[in-house]
Amino acid sequence: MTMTTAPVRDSRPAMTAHRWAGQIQFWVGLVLIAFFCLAPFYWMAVSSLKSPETIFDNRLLPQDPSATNYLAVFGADNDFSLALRNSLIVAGSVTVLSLIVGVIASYALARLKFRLKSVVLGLFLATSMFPGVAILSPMFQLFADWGWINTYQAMIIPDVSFTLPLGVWILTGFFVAMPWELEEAARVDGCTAGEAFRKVLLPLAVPGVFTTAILVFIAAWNEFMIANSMTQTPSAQPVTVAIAKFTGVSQFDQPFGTQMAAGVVVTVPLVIIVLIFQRRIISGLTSGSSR
Amino acid sequence: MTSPALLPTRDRPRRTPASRAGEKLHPVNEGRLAFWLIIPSILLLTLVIGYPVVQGIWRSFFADSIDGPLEFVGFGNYAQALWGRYSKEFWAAFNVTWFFTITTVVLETLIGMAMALFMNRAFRGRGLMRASVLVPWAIPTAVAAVMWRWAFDPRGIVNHVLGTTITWTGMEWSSKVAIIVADTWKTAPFVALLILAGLQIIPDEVYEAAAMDGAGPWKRFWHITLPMVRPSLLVAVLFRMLDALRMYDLPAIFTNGANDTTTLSILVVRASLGNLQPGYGGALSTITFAVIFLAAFLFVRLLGANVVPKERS
Amino acid sequence: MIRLRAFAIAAAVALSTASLAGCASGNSSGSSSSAEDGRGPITFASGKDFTKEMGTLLDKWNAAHPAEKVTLLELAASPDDQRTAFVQNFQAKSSAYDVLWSDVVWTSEFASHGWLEELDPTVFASSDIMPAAVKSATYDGKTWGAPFMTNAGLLFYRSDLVKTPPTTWADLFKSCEGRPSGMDCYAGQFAQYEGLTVNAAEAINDAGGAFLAADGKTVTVDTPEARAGLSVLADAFKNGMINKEAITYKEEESRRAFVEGRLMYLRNWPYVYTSASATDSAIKGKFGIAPLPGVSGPGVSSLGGIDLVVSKFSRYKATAKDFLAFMQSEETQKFVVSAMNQASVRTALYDDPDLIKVSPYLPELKKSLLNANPRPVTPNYNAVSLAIQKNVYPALQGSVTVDQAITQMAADLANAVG
Repeated sequence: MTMTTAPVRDSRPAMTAHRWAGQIQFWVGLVLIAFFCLAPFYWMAVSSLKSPETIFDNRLLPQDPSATNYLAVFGADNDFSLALRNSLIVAGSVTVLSLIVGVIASYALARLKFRLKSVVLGLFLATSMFPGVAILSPMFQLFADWGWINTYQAMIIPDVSFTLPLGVWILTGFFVAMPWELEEAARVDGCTAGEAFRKVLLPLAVPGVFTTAILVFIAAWNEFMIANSMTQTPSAQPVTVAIAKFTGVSQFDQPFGTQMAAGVVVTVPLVIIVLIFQRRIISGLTSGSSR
Repeated sequence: MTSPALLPTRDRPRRTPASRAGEKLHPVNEGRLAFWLIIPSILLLTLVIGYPVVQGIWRSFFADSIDGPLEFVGFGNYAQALWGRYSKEFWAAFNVTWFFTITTVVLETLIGMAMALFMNRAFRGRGLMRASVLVPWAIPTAVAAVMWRWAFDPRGIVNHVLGTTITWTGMEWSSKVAIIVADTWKTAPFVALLILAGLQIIPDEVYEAAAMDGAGPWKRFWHITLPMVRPSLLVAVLFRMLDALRMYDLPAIFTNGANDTTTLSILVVRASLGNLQPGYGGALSTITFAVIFLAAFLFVRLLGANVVPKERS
Repeated sequence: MIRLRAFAIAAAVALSTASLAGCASGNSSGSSSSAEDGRGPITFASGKDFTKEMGTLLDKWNAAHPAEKVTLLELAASPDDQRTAFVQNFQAKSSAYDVLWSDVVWTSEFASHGWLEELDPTVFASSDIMPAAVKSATYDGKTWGAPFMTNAGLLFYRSDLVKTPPTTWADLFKSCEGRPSGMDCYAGQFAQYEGLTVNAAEAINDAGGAFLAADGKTVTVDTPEARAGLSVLADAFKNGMINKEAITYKEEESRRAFVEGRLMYLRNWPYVYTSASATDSAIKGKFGIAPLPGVSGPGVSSLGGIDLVVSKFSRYKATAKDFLAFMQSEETQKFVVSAMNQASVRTALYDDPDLIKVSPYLPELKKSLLNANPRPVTPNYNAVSLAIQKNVYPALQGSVTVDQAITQMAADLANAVG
């Protein structure tokens, strides 16, 4: 802690005014951010509640809110509940796998001594540099040969590969910032390297792990290109593909209402998950270590 | 004085081998353990990305034809893109892609940083705020693109609110603005989240100490926050840049590449999936990769995204 | 060093395993170890069934052929996504799709790559079928698709404002002069997508121009006729006859503009009829249908529609071909018109009084169809269409002159076909 003492500034009314100004600035900023993020989503939700006749009238509040679009989303010919289930399975598996593979690789990169670390990190980065379409056709052919078309693994494995580089870079950064002393103290106390990792390091890396988990889950949940190529029937198609299959009353119709409703339906669970886990994104060394 | 544990690795007091009590790993074993920990990732990436890419690069050395035997043309496909018959559209796409990348990355970094700083403070409803900030990122890209495309329709909500009649997707400057707005909206939360994670590592004591020393908010930000959040910030910006250089969905859905919004990825998709030219498409893909690789390399070199730790001695 | 070597070995093993897996069984999923007679259950891959009546049709077939049932596989709604799915399956030589829902402009492309099964013209391209539709399913002198549905552009006009529909562009623009304020004169589909190729082809073909010669390889667009055709549209944009907002129009935007009463003339596909005559339509009873206008008399419509094709990698080709015949049969085609509200490929059905009662636009549509032109029939259709779109769009915007647009289009088309 600092050794110098600050000069006493005891003009109390001025400090309060200053603080009030700061508070107002802060709240104004918050409102702006909330508006920036939520206004388009509000528009999406409002549009989803409009019936097909009124959907283009640009009114900011629906005159006669109707659930037509939501009924259409879950209607018989859209298999949406099935798609939700598929998305959940795929995104969940991708998150778990990506985290497991990523965490152990990051630990090695951050804590263990070996050569070619930059090369390995560079390799992870390089795999994020290819346009997705370059992967698509050869991957499709490979999976077709293996009989993996229309299976979950055909989506899970590519998605894990796409999300792994970012996860490894984030987690490596986190592990690097962890202090050595805690790990060594644990080892002094008789833990093996593995136990020290699990009991000491991992809990401290929780913000990084959960941040990565959320980003990976959302990325897998929203993935379209691979899912669209690899799946062919509703039994395996996730929500992104199901939404792409929405049609209106003609082959040219853009089913805005249904798409907006589907967007709301698909986003709300993600937001809930984030709400549940958002506390874990925050927390720092101050909360975990014992001094 | 902050505790040694909280300093960046390179500033910590050096530990000699003798001071590492209870050391159980032999240096050679460390290397072997590292190998086994990393190999799952490497195998996965090799299979999913390495194999298609190698195949694509190999194919790019052959000409495209409807049928018949493959004709080796060496760098012919690459030449077509760089100075040959397709060079005009290639370089136009190159420029536009860089334009979009720089504008969106700068905007998203600024907005993302602002959002992260706000979310870092403790206040009531912080959790709800954080969840709201993620909403743009959480909406599926296709749905978000459709919504923005429709919002920017001449009869859409944007013109309605602004009171204008701009044909947003019908002109060059407005199409680009529309795409930048939609992309920034969608992706600033991603940057914010990564920066926020990095902000968590900075303990409150550091701020308090600085405040006690009389440092104002801007000084605190510039001299304490920014340096300490630098690693996370650089990772966020780096990955954002990689994604932005591969931008496809928004320009494709908004304008189908019209009005000079054709990005490199649109060219790649057109060649590979549209025109069924695996040779030329593979060449474009590889060139795009080279561009991105060079950009990332320069970025890491110049800004020193220093994630790899110095070895403990 | 040891680590590096082990590393490299592991990576090499992974790579080679993958490529071996790729090479070795390149054909396993598509090998024609079919049933001897090529009969069995088949998969019909198509876009989402927006008519909601395809199921009824398939049930009829399935009831009559219990051992050769057809399963409908619905793909993404966007035609581009459908085409990508088809192409990927073809390239992987997969037998997953037996019968495919092929847009008329894809048939020759698929055929040229050797992905389709050749069909018997006497069965599938007989004189009962619209000639233009047959042309679109023919490539290299052979028949590759069974036309199933067809489409031609129609001119929708406000019958309360115009007594007789115009047959020439000049008449059309003249009749717009007295239009109510706030109403635009004419619109088609002008965003940069396939619809723009359709509209541009109509304008240019009618004026006597052509993009490619009959061989599908010689570029013939660099002519005064093509320039004249394109100028009609470009000038209309310039002098406000076409609202500049129309540069963003696809089928739906233009339809809405017309049905909401903001447009005097609309070029669109017949499907507009349904919403224009719906009970809550603003123009119910106030609109009419006519063939497209031209430079000197009725214009030339672009041909749309769907061919049903059989995959070369299908295991049950005999069943597939029989299914195609069923879909082209008179009974099914009547169903296509009456229940699915689409245009049939059988010429005779356009004079059927019962069907005309259901779809009053049939006589006008027949006139358009008999005069329709398929878009360029070439294996490189995708690149050709893009070359057309990329040059017509800026000409309509006014950023380049018609002359520059056509010149550049000729160069781009040359790149596209060769």
